[in-house]
Amino acid sequence: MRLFKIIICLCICLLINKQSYSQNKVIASYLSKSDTLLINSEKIVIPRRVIIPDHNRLQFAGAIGCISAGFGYNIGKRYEITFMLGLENDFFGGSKESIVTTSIKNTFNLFHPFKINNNLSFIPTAGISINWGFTNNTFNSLPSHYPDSYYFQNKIHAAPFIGGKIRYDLNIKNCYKRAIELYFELGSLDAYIIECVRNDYVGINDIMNLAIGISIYFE
Amino acid sequence: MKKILYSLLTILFLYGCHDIIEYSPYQVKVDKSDKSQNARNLSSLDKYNSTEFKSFKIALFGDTHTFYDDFNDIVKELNKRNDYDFIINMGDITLSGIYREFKWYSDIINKLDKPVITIIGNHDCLSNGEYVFNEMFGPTNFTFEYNNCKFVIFDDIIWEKDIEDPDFDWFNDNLKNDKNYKHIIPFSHIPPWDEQFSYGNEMAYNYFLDKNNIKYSFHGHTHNFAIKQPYLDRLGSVTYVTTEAANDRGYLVLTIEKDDIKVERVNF
Repeated sequence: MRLFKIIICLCICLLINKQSYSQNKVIASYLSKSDTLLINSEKIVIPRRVIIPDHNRLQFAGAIGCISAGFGYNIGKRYEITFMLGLENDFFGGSKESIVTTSIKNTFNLFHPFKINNNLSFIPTAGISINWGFTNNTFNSLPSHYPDSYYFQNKIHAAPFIGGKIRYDLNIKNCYKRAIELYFELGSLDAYIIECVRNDYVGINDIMNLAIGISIYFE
Repeated sequence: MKKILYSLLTILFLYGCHDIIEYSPYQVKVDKSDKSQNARNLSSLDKYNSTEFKSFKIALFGDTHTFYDDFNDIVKELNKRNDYDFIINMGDITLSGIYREFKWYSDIINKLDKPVITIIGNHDCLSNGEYVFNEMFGPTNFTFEYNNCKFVIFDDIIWEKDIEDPDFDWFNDNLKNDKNYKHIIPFSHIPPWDEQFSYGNEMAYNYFLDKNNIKYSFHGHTHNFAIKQPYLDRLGSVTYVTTEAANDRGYLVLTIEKDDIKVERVNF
């Protein structure tokens, strides 16, 4: 039953995009970033619908599950916020106990895109994710049978990362899809970084993890 | 040219990373080479084991948590001497029971020349730790025999497992001297006077030891070295020994003799 719920959530994440709404051009532009519409050479200003996401993502690994999917918004040119839901269980990833992770991923585009050719460009990124791990015996606040501050919470982790993405611009007319990006992120976790700082034994190469993903951006 | 150099350096770095593809910090996914280490280490003891009693020594340390540098030094110190037969770790091998902490611990104990028996601690039961422990080391309650002595390894974690009582029925059954053992020695992470034990559980623990004529009980958890008989005024004269944590840079050596067990503390 739990697995069924997770699959439903993943499907919803994947389906919430503009494709579902872009039956015709008017609606497509209505949902677009530009807030004005030209109908019979009259300019109509329509309030922007923010609830419909600007991009969807599918990711492999990266400490938030074997596979994870999500949606997000582009705020300004530099900042993107993405809400991800990841899953690891016996089938996805081979863990004996299933783990569901939700993550708020804050990505910053560090520089202007390096143009490779007309459509292709490379953008270095960095950011920090806040991950909630849902599995056995994780807690935000201590269960009542413990004395005060017996343990530190073990549910939320901060995960800084650096990475890059290769962007392919789709210059197709009347298409709601703007670009497809392949990205990778080299990340770590607060708990690992603390051990790396405290101990010589734990090196930088012991605390890194790699995420690979694809995102689709909408016009 | 620069781009190629950067790419090559990145690839080299990624190649040098351990567990670079990580699905979750809480994962219960143990490499084949790390599985069932307690059973494997016990079977490597078989060739030295005899059915007749003879005096022998074992080393004891505990609460290594994430004091990896101090822990590494303990391993080096223990590898310098050769007069003991095996090692028992008194538990708390991680800080928050996540996979990489278990993996780091496993990598360090595999540098030891002598076999190690690992006991579960309360920190090892956080998140999915208990399941990782079961995969990596095996069951948490078990016994083994060595030179006509019986070692009873007892899992007495209560709060982290969200249970009322430890499995005292199993404990009592296994403390019975049914095969004419010279010694029966219980080991568990939490000593009975700890706040995790209710007063009833504390008395029950001591009662089972006294009833079965056990002389010594060994524990970790307190991060303090102590030898004491706290229940002299209530029941019996069982001696309780607790080990210090790895950052105190020390270990214990037990000499198991015909009539008694001697405890020697080594600090460096």
